[in-house]
Amino acid sequence: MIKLNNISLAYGSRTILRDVSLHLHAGELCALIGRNGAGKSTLLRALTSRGDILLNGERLSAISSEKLAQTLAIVTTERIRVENLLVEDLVAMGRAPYTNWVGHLQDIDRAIVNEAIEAVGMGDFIGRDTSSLSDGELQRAMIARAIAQQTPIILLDEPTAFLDIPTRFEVCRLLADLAHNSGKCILFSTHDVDSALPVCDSFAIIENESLQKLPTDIAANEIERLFRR
Amino acid sequence: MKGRTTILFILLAVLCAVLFVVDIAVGSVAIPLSDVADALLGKGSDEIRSIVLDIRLVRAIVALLAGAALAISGLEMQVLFRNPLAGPYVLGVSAGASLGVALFLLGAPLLGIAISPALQSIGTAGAAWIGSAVVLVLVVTLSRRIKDIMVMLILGIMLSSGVGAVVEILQYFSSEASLKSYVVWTMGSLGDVTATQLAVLAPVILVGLTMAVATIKPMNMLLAGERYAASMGLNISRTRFLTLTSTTLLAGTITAFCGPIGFVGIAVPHIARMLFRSADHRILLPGTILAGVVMLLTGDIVAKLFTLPINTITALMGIPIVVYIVTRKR
Repeated sequence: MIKLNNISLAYGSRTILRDVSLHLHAGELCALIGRNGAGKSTLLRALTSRGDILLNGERLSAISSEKLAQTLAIVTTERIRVENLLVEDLVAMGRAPYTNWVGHLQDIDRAIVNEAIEAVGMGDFIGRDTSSLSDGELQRAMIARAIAQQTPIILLDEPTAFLDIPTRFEVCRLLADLAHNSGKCILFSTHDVDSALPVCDSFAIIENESLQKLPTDIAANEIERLFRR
Repeated sequence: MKGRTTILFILLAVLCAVLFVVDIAVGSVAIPLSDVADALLGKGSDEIRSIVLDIRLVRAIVALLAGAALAISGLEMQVLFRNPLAGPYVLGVSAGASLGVALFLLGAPLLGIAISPALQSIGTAGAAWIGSAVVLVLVVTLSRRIKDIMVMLILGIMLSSGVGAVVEILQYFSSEASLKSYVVWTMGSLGDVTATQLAVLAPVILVGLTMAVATIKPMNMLLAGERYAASMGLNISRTRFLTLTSTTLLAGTITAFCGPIGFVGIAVPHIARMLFRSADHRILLPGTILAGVVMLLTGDIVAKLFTLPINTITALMGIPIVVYIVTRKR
């Protein structure tokens, strides 16, 4: 589903990742962890722009922006608070790659939007103004927008940042549901190992310009060894 | 919600029509509304018909186009820059136009070039247009290199200040007569546009508005920011180019022919957002056009009743709204 083979990434003249490889398959939930500045966000960004990365067997550079929008959805750390923008309108943005030039929603699009809102447990918030939502509610709405985009791959940059402890577990469980029940390939960066450990299939750990992907049971010990020494 | 939106659209459209007729009726010679209607239908006395069709109608159409154009250019800028206080003035379009006019009206006499009265009107419009276009080219070139929207906004402010300084130097060395011509232009006027000029102005504004309609979906996507919009398949460079071109056609042309008319671009999109309680540009775009037309027609009626420059009226109408936007969340 996602294949990076011997990729190096630099930020200006500073090398962030050297010669790293990462393979992820459909239905897999993988947490990307590492220190601040280790290159988690850079790697996620590269996954939306670097030509030498394979998505669904196709080189990223060969995919049109329209097709890429139907292949990969992102959720960033940015909080979208626009006055008068309702939750359903925010989630409906995810249908943009499928709608006509004015963004007219067909019945099928509305059904997908409603389904996405229900999937994140925001059914009661459908007509609420996004500027009145809490951080956790807004994060769930952003995830619903990514679900409505109906892509096989979802990338999330620190989806549990700024959230209280129960909401962190809730968001992680939601991501696990999406991966395991809907077959999506999900990669998310996080510092919140405690919430990620019970639900993730694997961990991609960045340390000293290198990246290693480990199954969760082994990853727990490795994280302990690397970061708590 | 849908019913409320429809009622608002009908009310605004009726208000536009009423204000349009009142704007024709009001002036140095007050014409009864029934005579205005007769003249518009080709009936009534020749004298009244001539005033209504040759002078008042042209002015009212200019007010209508100026309201729609300035308001939409403000809406486009606010979405593109994700800044509620953005507008064509912040971008520097008006500053570019002012520099063009200042160079023409103040600079040419300094170089010993005489400007005939016949040349003055068309020369002013041409200079303003060229000034706006130069700023557009500069902004588009910069926007290709600079991806940070805040940097673009600051560059726009710097550009305006720089132009302001150059204009002040020109003013310092200018004669009283050319200084007066420039100051009169800066006050703005809807009444100086002739029917021939309107034939140029109207199609350009319609092209600008059509381009704005073409960016309805991109504007909705940009509410989530450029990174999200790009991830949903939006071509950011193309959208930027379309929006900036549309803004310059709209604001640049109106500034060229009517002088700088402030506060419409900043205030009207907010009035539309408050009225329609929506962030959807399929509603906001026509709503902003109607609200812009209402504001400029009202401004023109007041301007004619008290013989005041239009710019001062729009400032007095727009400033309370801008103050409200800046202070309401504090």
